[in-house]
Amino acid sequence: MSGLKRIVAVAANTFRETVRERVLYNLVFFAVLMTASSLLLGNLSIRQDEKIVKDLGLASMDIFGTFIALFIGVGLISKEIERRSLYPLLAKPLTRSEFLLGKFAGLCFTLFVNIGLMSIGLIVTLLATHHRADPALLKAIYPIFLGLILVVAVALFFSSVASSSLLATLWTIAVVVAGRFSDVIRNMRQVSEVPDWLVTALYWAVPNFRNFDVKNAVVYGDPVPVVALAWMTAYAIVYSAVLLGAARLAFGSRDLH
Amino acid sequence: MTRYLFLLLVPLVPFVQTRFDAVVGTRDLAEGRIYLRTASEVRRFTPGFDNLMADLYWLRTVQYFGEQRAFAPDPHYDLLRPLIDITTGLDPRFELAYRYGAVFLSEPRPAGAGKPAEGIEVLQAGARNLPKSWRVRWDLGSFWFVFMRNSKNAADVLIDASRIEGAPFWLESLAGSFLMGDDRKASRAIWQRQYETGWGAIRDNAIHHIEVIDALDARDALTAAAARFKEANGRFPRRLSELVDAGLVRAIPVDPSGTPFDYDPETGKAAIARTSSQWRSKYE
Amino acid sequence: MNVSSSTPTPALSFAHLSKSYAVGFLARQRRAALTDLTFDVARGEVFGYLGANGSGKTTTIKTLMGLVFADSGEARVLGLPLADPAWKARVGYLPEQPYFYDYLTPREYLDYVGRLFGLSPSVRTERANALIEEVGLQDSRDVAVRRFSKGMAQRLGLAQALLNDPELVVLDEPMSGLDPIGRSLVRGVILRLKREGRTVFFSTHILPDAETLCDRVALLREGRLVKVGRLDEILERDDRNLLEVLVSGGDLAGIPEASRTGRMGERATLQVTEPELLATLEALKRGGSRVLSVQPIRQSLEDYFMKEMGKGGGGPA
Repeated sequence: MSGLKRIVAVAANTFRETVRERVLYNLVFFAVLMTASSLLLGNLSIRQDEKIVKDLGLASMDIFGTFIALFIGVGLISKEIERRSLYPLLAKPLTRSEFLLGKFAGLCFTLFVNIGLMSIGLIVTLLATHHRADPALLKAIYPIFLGLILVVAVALFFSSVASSSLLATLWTIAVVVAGRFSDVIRNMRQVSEVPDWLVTALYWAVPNFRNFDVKNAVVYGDPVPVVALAWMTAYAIVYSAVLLGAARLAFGSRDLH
Repeated sequence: MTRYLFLLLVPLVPFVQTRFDAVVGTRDLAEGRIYLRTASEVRRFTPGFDNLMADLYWLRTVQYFGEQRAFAPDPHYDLLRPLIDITTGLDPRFELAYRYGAVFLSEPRPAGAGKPAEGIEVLQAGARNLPKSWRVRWDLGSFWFVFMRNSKNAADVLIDASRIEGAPFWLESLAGSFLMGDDRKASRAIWQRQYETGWGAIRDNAIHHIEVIDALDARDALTAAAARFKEANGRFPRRLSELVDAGLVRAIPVDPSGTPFDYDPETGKAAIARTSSQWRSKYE
Repeated sequence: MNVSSSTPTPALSFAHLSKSYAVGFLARQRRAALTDLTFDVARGEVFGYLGANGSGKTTTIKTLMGLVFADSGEARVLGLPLADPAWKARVGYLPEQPYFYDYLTPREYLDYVGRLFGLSPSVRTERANALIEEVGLQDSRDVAVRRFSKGMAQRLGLAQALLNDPELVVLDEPMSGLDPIGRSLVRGVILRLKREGRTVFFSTHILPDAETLCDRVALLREGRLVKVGRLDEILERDDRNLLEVLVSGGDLAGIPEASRTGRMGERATLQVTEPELLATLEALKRGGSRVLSVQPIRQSLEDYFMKEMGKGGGGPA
C-alpha cells in the first residue's frame, strides 16, 4: 500500500515536471493549427473540410503525443541518472521498481491530459465550423493513447538500459519508426528474398504501432469493432509490461555513477 | 526470481498480435483510402515537390499492390489504377510507373489485378507522354497481343515503336510474326525479348510466361504422342508410362514447376495439373 | 565476534566490502574502487570518513545507499543488511554535490521527499518548515531550485536528509561548495544531531572540519582502509603538544631562545609545550609584551595525512 503511495508521489512529481517544463505548450500550437486549418482548408476544399479537420486533429494528436512520449520518456531515467537527482530519492524507502513505475505512470498521465485537451480542441473546432462532434472519434483517440503508452514504455526501457540519453533517444526513435512501418515489414514476406521466419520474427518483435492506427477508418465512418479495440488494448498492456519488466531488470542491478 | 517473471509475458506478444491480425487483419486492406484523387489536387498541396510526391505515390502503389495480393482475402485492387494515375500524373515521364503499373493491372489473378484493359490504358497514356520510348510501346504491343489477343493492334504499335531512334531491330520482325497467326511462337518471342530487355519484376514475369509456354508445348507433345499411340494400338494409353514403353517419349515429362501433367485416358489429352503454378484457367 | 545481546549493534558496519568498476573500451577491465573494507561506526558518534578525492569515499557511501552494488563483502546499516528496505526510513543521506529538480521550490521538494517517507501532510509541512529555518533557506522557500547557488542547493540537501528524523545521517562532502557561514551552519547541525544522540557519518577531504567535529575517523587511501581510531589516539601518539603564542612588543629577554620561532617587526611567535605555557606567559607579562593569541599546534590531521599518504602525497587534490 505504501509502495503504491510512493509510486503515486513519483508520478505526481513527473506530471508536475512536464507541466512546469512547459511541455503542454504544444497545446497552444495545436489550437492555432486547428483554427487555422479549419479556416483555410474549409475554403480550399469544398465538402472536405470536416474530414480534413478530423484528419489534421487526429494526426497532430498522434504526432505531438509521440514526440512528447519519446523525448520526455527517454529523459525519464537517463536524465535523472545524469543529473544525479535520483540519488537522494533512492536512499529513501523508494525501490527502483517503484521509481520506474511512478515515472511511467506520470508521463502516461501527462499524455492523457494532453490528449484530453486536444480532443476538446478538436470538438470545439468541429462545432465552431458547424459540424457534429462525432462520438466515434473516441474510437480513434483511444488507440492513439494506447500507442503513446507503448512509446513511453519503449523510451523508458531504453532510458534504463542506455548509458546516455543520446543513445537512448536514437534507439527509441529507431524502434518507434520501425514499429510504425510494421506493415511494410509484414509485406516483405512477399516481396523480398528475406526468409519467412526472419520476417515473422521481426514482425512480432518490433512493437507494432500500426495496430493503433484506425484514424482513417474513423474519419470515413467505418466501423471499428470492439473486439479490435480489446485486442489492441491487450497488445499495448502486454508489450508495455514486457518492456517495463525488462527495464526493471536492467535498471534494478545497474550501478549509478 | 520475480524480476524475471516478465519473460513469461513475452510469448503473449505474438499471440495477441496474431489474434489482433485475425480480427482486423483485413481492415485497412479492405479499403485503403487516398486523400486526393487526382494528381492536380496533390500538386496543389505540395507545390514544388511533384517528382518527390510521384515517388512517394509510387511507393504507395507498390505497397498497395503487394498488400492486396498477399493479404486481402478478396482482392479488388480498386485503388491501383488511381494510384498509378496520380503517380504518372505528377511525373508524366515516370516510365517505370507505366510499365510496372501495367503489369500489376494486366496480369490475371492471382498474380495481378486481372484488368488488362486498364493496363493497356496506362500504357497508352505512357506512349502519349513518352514519345521517344520504344519500351512503353513494346510493352503496349505485347499486352495487346498477350492479354487482349489483338494481333492487329499489337503489330501496329510495334511497327510504330520500331521507328523510334534506338529501337531494337527485332521489333519489326516480331510485328510480322504477330500477323502470321502463330500465337504461341509469337508469345514465346515476346516473352523472350521481354526477358532480354527487362529487369526485376518484368524479367521474373517473362520467365514465368516462358515456363507456361514450355509447359503448353510439353502438354501438346504428350497429347500428340498419345494420338500416335492410338494409331499404332487402336486405343489411347491407359497411363502415360505406356508412352515410354512404346518408345514414343523418352521419359514422362513434368512441367517447369516440376508438377506431372494430368492425363485423361478417355480422350487421350494431357493437361497442366491444377496444382501447378503454370496452370491458368484460360489454357484449359 | 563477542557482541552480546546487550551491546547495541553498530550504526554502520562494513565487512570485507570490495567494489570495482568496469573501465576501458567495452568495459573489459576493472579498476578496484574499494578493497576489503572492514570497520564499524558506533551509535551516537560523529564519524569522519577521510581521504583524498578519488580514494573511494563516495563509492563507499553509494554502496551503502544502494546506488552501486558491492562485488563482495557486506555492509549493515543499523544492524540490517543493505537489501532490507526497513532501515531506509531511519537514515538520512546527502549526496555529493546534490542536484534537485529545477522546477521545484524547497517546500515542494521537501513535501515530495516527505511523501516518499510516507509522512502525513501535517508532519511534512511542520518538519519542512522547521528544517528550512534551520538551514537558513527561509527567504527562498518558494523560489524554484533552478535559481539556487551551489551553497543553497547544499543546504536544501541537508534539509532533505533530515526530514525523516533519522537515527543515522550519512553526508557525502557536506562542507564542499559552502561559504564560511554555510560551513559553520553545517557544523552546528552536526553538533545538534550529536547532542540528540544520533549517529553522523560524513566524508570530507577538508581536514579541519573533521578535526573539530569527529569522535573517530577512518582514513581511506586508494580504496583501502589506512587507519580507524579516535582522533586523539591518532594525533597525540607522539604527544608533546605544542602551543603557538603570538605576542606584540615588550622585552622577550625572559624567553628561552629555543622558543622564539619568528619575528616580524613588533610581533613575534613563540612555540612552547603545554607545561611551559604558564611560565612563558608570566615571563611575557614581566617583559611587558602583549599576548595576541595562544593556539595549540597539535599534529594536525593534515600532517598526519601527509605522513600516512607517504611520498606519493594524497593523490590529486
